[in-house]
Amino acid sequence: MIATLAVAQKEIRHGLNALFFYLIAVVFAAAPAFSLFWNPAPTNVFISNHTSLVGFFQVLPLFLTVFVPALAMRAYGEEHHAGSFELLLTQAGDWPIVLGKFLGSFIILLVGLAATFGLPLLVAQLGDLDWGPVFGGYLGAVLFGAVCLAVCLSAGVFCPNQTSSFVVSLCLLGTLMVLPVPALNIQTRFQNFAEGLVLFPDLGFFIGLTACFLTINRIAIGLRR
Amino acid sequence: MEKQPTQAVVELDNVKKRFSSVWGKPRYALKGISFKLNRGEITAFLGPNGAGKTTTKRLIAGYLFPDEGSVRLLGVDPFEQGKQVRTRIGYLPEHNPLYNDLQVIDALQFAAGAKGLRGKQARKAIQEAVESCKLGDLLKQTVGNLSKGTRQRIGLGQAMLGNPEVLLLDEPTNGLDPNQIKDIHLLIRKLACRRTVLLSTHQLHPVPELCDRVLVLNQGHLVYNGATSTLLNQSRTRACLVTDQNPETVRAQLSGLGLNLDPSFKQLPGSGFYSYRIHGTWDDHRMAKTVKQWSDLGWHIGGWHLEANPMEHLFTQLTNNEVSAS
Repeated sequence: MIATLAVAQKEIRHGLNALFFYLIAVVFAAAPAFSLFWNPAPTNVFISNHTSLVGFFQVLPLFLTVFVPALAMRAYGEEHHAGSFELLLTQAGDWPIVLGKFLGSFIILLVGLAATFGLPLLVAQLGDLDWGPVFGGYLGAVLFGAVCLAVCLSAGVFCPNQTSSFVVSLCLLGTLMVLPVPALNIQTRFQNFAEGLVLFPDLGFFIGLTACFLTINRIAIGLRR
Repeated sequence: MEKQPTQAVVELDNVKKRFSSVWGKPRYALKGISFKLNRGEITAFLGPNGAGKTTTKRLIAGYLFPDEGSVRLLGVDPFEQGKQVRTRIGYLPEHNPLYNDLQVIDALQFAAGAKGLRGKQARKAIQEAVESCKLGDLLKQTVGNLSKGTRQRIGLGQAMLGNPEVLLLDEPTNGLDPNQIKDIHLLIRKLACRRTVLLSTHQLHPVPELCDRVLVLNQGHLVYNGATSTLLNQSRTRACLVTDQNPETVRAQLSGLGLNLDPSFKQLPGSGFYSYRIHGTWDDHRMAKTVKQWSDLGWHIGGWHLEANPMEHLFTQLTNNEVSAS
């Protein structure tokens, strides 16, 4: 537990020390807002004359699939680059590294999601906002982000540098987004949350998939030895 | 400081390690090595690049597992039961990887946490490391801005967190200037009290002074395992000779005896004499006899003495299989 927290703390420090994080956080916070106010689609608040975040939650998964690989590529990429992975493995065990890196990156992801909180508050000023789908959407985004993070971290162990980690993660997440089986498609599952439907099967799916990829991450570390 | 009774802390028994590639044949980095490291000893781990030193260290540290044979660290398997020995081992890998964007204190706190130290225990360990490695004035400095010597001290500080019983140091003086090397050697000697230290280095000069034992690895085989003093005693000696004969004459004479002249001869100014070093297996009797022969040939002998070969020459002999494995 102590080792997990130490690794998580280091990941948060690394993340928050990097200018890169702030750049992508600004893009991540600003871009979905575009869909709500400037996009000509019917989800535009002004066009539909309806205060809802449907448009925002429609595009949020797409932005997460870019934001999360950018966030996660550093976790193992920098260890490989600095040659510190070997030392880390002899100091902490495999699971503390996997969980610590996940926890640290997950907290940074939450900070990124928190940067979008201004959006529902702004929309709420324009009319009566139904907060159910908003809370559901954010819960879904957190779970969706957790899956993305676990996938990207698993890919990062195998990839020798940050660029390849980003590309491979993007491909894997893209595949999970377009899977023709709705039960396994992460975007389809997310849409239930965006509509304010918090269903146990969806919760179980996201939590189970995250656990599955974290286990793959742990196995991947074992394979590197 | 008084050493504790001899006791094996690290034991390798017929360890083999191979690395596979997708297309090529598997390559054996270690071809069945066995040795023990005793408590309180500093052991030099020598060998040319690619001999398998780093692989051996990684096996002891629990980063890799052996394909054959067994590795025991403090009585347990460091790969299978890593949790039990993690705080009892300090590892400084080659190139000393540090997180450049962290402050020194953060780097030490992270290493302490990663080893599972917390609260008072962690604070005490960090304080001890800071004092031993003289890092007190640098705690708020960013690691990436510090000199190589200072970074090595931070690496050593991280390795000794938690007062480990075994220190594995992989080329800790690599790329340092002579003063920094001296500082690091002093520090290692200080840290070595009651600890077992395995030190791989390409700096051979300090080995006789710094290390109790020597392990020499060559192409995955252990070619020497013994006390430093034994190695130095069994080593060949060099003869130093001062004579008036020119290098061509001396070289021709030596080649007739199957001996080699060291290229580092020099002419002594204003005397007409030369100073030579002659490689070979010498003792006082043989040298006196040879010098008499040369005197009989009309050579003027200004003096002679025998000296032990430096470590570099021993290293070359061992890694060229000139000295049998012990």
